[in-house]
Amino acid sequence: MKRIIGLIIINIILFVVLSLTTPYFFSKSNIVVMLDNMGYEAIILSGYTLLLIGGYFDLSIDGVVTITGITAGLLMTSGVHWALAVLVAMVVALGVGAINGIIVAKLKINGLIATLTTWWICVGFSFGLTKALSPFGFPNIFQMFGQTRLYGFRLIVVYAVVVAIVLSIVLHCTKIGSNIYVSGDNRQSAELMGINTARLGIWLYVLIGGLSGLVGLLVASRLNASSPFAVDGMALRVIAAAVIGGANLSGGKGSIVGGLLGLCIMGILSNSIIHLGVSPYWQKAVLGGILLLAVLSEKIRRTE
Amino acid sequence: MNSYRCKAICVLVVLALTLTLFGCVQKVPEVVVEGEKTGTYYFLAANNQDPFYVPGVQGITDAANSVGMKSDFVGPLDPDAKAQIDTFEQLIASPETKGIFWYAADFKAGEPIVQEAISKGIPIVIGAADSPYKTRSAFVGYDNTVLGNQAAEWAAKLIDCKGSVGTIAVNGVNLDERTNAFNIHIVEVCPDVEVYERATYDGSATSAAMTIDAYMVAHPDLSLLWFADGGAGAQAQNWKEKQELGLKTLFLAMDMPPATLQAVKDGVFVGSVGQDTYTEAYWGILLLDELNKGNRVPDTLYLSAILVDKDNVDQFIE
Repeated sequence: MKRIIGLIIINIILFVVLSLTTPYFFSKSNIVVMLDNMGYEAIILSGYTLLLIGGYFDLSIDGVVTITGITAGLLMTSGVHWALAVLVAMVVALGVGAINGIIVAKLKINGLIATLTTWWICVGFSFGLTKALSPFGFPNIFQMFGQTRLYGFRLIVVYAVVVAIVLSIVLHCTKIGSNIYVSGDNRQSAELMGINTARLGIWLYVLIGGLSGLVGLLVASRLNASSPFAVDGMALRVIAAAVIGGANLSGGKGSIVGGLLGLCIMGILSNSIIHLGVSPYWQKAVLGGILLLAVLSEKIRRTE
Repeated sequence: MNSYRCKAICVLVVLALTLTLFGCVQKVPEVVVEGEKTGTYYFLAANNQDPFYVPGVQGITDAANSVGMKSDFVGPLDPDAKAQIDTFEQLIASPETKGIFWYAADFKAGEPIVQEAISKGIPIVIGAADSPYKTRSAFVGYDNTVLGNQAAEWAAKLIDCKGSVGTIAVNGVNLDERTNAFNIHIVEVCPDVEVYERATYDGSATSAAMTIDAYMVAHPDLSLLWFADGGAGAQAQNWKEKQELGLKTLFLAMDMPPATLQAVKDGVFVGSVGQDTYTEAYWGILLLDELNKGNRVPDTLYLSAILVDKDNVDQFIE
């Protein structure tokens, strides 16, 4: 709880300082932009927190996001009905998630190598199938999913909120949630308690595959194009946000709310760099430095 | 348990083989052109995922076919100088390599390898931006300062020398040169125009869309935004939507990938400063071939950008 309060305070401080120092940071349009842009990572982060708590991690997110958009995009531009294209794309995403789950949770192969491999396979297929040319020009109804606005916000914000609430309930109010915590904290104990940790792990990877697929479709819908280079570094940003939010890379700890607050810090910082007119040469250094400070300060607080 | 594990591994192996075969089906068969010459001319770039290269790959293919040689497009998908140098070393170690058309990620890092290649009799023609060290057999491409100046001249006319301008691009030596030239020249042409700090993105479509969103909010009075690299087209919808919401900022693109040309046609972009990558790569291969024959070629061959707008865009859309 202390971490959550600390993260809220950091967010407030950043918000107040930037509102006072830049003319357009505290404006409705900028808040809309920030929330719209954080929505994609928030959807994946909610599921990823469960995965981290369960003691697993997944680097294949960027690849799954990309291959899902490409699959749907290629099918739609070749005349397939959008609903069937979405269905096939989601089957691909869930399939990659299931493969990750079987390799890591069932066959006990290192998750870093396993998901790195599926990431590369997905990206390779995306480029191979498109030859680096983005399919574009999708049916209007498909575009609506990523472009429709509600009170100024894209629907992505609504999807993110729904996913976060549902998964928070699953995590904190159901037996599945407690099994995830127990399994991530001590797998052997969990198995002695009768929890099928391998099956649980597979389902967690399927969940991440599904959420990544959803984001891939939403990105394609928003841009009206499926880029074979749709996202870059999304998995690492999601992991960073989850860790800032209190998730433990070795499992057993974390919360979706904490992860979302961590994501807010990163989102505000990314946005502020443009408002402050920071030179592009310094952007990554500034962002990385501030993130490092945030993580170190938490470490010091825990030590004390 | 062991039986289950064996079955799972078998399923994965079959799946991997199926995927591999599927990938093989997509491979375009190499066309062997009659003639006595053997070997391959390589187009070596450093961010091969960019759709900017698609016309260029067609250019090397056509040029190589015309001189009876094979061609291939190689290099890392993402901007990665070290990976490009690694590939460079592999190429010059191969007897198959008869010449390299090189888009440099880092001229200094590549200089010793270029010297080694030339000493082995492998000509190196540089494309895109010329090496400040001039260590190469020849150069064909664009002067990024001229490209920036051309864009600035066009932008000045479009905004009637009033208001403010900004740029967005990924990081890179050629793009730094290009955007700096734009920023300097537009103030020379229009002293009253305000120039905002350039926005950068990581090269991905989503990052571009997010960066432009934040940039437009930070600079609501922006009169014109120049997308100084060729990765802009895929995100066109994002800006089209904003124009429909009443945004008055003009968007000027760069290069001629299909999605950008379509966006010019649709009016999302007022135009695009088009580098003709096809012509550049085509001439790059022809220069390599002449050098291979022992003929003298021009040291520097500058090309001129094409200003594409709605009036002439149709001739570039296939």
